[in-house]
Amino acid sequence: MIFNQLDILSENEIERILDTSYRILEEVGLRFEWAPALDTLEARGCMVDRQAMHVRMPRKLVEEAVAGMTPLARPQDYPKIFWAPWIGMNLIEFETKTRRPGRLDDCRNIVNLVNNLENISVSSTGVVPQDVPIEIADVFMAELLFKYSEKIFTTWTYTIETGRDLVEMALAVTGGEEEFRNSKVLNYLAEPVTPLKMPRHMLEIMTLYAQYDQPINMGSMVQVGTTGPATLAGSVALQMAENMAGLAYLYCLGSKSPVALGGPMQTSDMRTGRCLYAAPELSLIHLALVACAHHLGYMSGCTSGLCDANTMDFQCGWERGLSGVLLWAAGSESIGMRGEIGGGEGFSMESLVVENEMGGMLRRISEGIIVNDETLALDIIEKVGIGGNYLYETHSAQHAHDFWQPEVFSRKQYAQFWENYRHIEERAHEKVARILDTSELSLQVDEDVAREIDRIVKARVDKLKSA
Amino acid sequence: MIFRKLKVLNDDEMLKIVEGAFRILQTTGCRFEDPACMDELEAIGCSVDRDSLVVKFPEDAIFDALESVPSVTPPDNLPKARVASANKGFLLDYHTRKMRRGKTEDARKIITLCNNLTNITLASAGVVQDDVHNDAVEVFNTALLLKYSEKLFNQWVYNTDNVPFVLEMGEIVTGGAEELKQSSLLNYMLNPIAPLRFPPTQLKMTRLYAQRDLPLSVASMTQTGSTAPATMAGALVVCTAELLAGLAWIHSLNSKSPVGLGALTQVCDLRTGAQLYAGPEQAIMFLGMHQIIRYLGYTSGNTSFETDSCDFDFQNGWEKALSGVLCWAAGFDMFGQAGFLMDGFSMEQLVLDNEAMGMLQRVGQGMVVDEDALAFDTIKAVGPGGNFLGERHTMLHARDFWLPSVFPRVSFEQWQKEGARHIIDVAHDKVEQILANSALELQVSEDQARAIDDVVRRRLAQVGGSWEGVI
Repeated sequence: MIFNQLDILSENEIERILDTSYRILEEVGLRFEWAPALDTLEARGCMVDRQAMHVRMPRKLVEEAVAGMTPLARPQDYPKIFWAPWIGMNLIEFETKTRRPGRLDDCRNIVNLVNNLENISVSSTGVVPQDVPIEIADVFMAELLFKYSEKIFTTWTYTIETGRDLVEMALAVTGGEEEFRNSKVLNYLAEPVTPLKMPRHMLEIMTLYAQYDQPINMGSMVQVGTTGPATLAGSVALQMAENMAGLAYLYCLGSKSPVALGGPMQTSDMRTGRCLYAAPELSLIHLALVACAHHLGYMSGCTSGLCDANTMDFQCGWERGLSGVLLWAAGSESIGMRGEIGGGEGFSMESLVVENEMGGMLRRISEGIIVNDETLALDIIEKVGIGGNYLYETHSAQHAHDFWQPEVFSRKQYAQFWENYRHIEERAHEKVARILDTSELSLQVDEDVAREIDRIVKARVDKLKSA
Repeated sequence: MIFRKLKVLNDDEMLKIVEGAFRILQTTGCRFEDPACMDELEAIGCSVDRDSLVVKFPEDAIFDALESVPSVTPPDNLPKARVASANKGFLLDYHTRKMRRGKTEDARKIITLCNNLTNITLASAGVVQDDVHNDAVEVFNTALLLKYSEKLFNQWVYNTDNVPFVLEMGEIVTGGAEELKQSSLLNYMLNPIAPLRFPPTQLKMTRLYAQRDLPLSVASMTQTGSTAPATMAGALVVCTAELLAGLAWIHSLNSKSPVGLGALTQVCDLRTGAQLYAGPEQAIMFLGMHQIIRYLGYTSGNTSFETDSCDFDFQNGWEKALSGVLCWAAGFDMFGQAGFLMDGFSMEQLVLDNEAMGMLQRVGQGMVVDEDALAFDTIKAVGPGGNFLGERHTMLHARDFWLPSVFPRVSFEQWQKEGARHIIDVAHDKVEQILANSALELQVSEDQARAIDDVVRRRLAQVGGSWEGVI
């Protein structure tokens, strides 16, 4: 039995941060850049300046929303750790060691890989394909995932128009509106433009998905020192304010969407302005974010386990481990996003394979220590006695397979390792190639449904052409 | 405020393991391979067999020890994430990427590095060099560390004959036996040989330190599947039994030595028989033993923050993070072994471990939550859609952030443009930079240094070793 108990804030400190969030919503307010959202919020008692599209939210209303909305819950049959791939613009190509724009065939390969990597629990296309019209790339990504992913998935939704396409696909896959509502096959990562702006496209898509009770993950992206204060506590308060504003908006809509409060917060290197993915301060703010979300009764997901390293070296492993393990120890439900490398520079299939290995180790730890008469083995200890050896015992043979075994990580001795040296990236690439050579994507939906998805994609392409 | 309470056992599970250890100590016992221990242990109520040297422990003897033997308490002013430099026989040569025997010159360099790497809390000589007579090298390196280390240090002593010389040097530096006792400068670790054996050399050396009331630790090194059962719970039973037996024996010595308990539990790769340093099961066992040792009321130590990788790669960093960060989250403060790379010591690894530990220390400082840090007025002044970069509050806090000295933070293109340098090369630059700019300076008076040298000369003369050529 594992007890995840790592808290970096006392109850009093959490309450002070959340109190500041409530004050930000009530006294500073936010810009909601869509008129229908202003109508909805005004009707529920928010103070609205229509010309400035500025909204201040009474604390009482936000508290009602926190109490009244449904927190997103992990499916019961689901592993404790969400381990989802990243979705970036570029792919780091193993052969050329260069960064290039993602393509549709990369997306297919990544969906195929995820299907075959047992510790990556949520799928994605990994990259945004740029050999299709970029305005509707999200439709192509959804098409692949609906048709071929063996796992639940996460993807981007760019506009209300493409959002409607995704809903239409989901209706086709699930078989009807009621089935779609119950399925939660879609989800939306709502990202306010920080500080304190709720952009029109985000509000439109949230409203659409909320109509169908689909999960909404409020994931603001405050960057410490640029779009948030340079102090960690202030940035977390701002992040929570933006997340709670989204929650309150959904509440005002009367939505039954389950909600999570998370977000890919960032820090910046104040010397260069570079956005950082793996600074130690980032671990602290994500730990605080998880604590605040849990305090309100909500699940939280963060983009931990990332790296600023540009290659799969010591820095890469340590940075991923530091934030990933800290967040795991604090009970975070999601440790995303996998496959990213170089502070968001690109997606690496080799990294995804190595991170799958890392997920296996962490999952093994999650299983804990089994304590019963068989595992305590007191009789065996007495039998082997002083100075004896357990290697020959039947008990050892029976439990020899209980141990986690690596596929890519090495356990060779030093001389043996260097005699036939292959860098970890090469070993990972061999696994990528093996999976892609031996596994093909197979339809996960009926052929009729696949045809309907194809029709939706074609219709969107035609509309774009005619426009 | 940080609360680190990660646990892997509930109270019932923990008690079952401790009760199992009590049963093993009563039914099977341990072998104490020094006849002198028989009288000592019999005096605290143990049943001893003087022929086989097997000792069985009644519950009361263990409970008495637990009540009487004080725990080591680390000073309050130390950081919450500390790492000790390793001691290995071999050194990784940066230029050839091959392991070779260490030299005195290497030991001096490693001490210089430890002096200059802010996050390495405990120094070491890093290597067991082959240019000093093997029987005196422990005395020699202790002398180097006493003279030149700016930090407390870690030096293993395996040879009983070296102990009086090491203690004498400790007294020279501190000013006398009583001062040495108060200083935390020297301590000894008793390592039983699993399963359930206490070898004579270790017992003799422990006795020498205990007679002077110097800090001791008992550290069990069970290996799951070979010297302990293949199930983790069973391995923890053996480990706990060995720790309790060692503690009871120390109690029988009537020493005032404070004691720490350590779990250096290992996993045997049952496919190959190889000893693993970083399997996930090892991390779980560290956490379980930490709970048990804390429950028994003692300061706990382990060998987390290690790797099975032979390269400076992803696996190396991840494995160190997995066990190190988990143990930190469970309340561990002290890690080992920085600079460790499979069969040897690496100066470049020491630099990387220093960098990694700097990040963990920053996490350990936590988050300030006060009016200034919550920054409500600044958030209000910036408002929706604004930018914090131009704010005075941002300028005031711009230097609050941890900065790397080795880990690059550049774009993929820039990293490639700069030659896509491997992390070992970047770390080696830092090694060279430190060694070029820092020289070892005496940390003791010249009189003390001469007295220490005299001790080393006497020991070298005793074993037939030469002073010439190594200084």
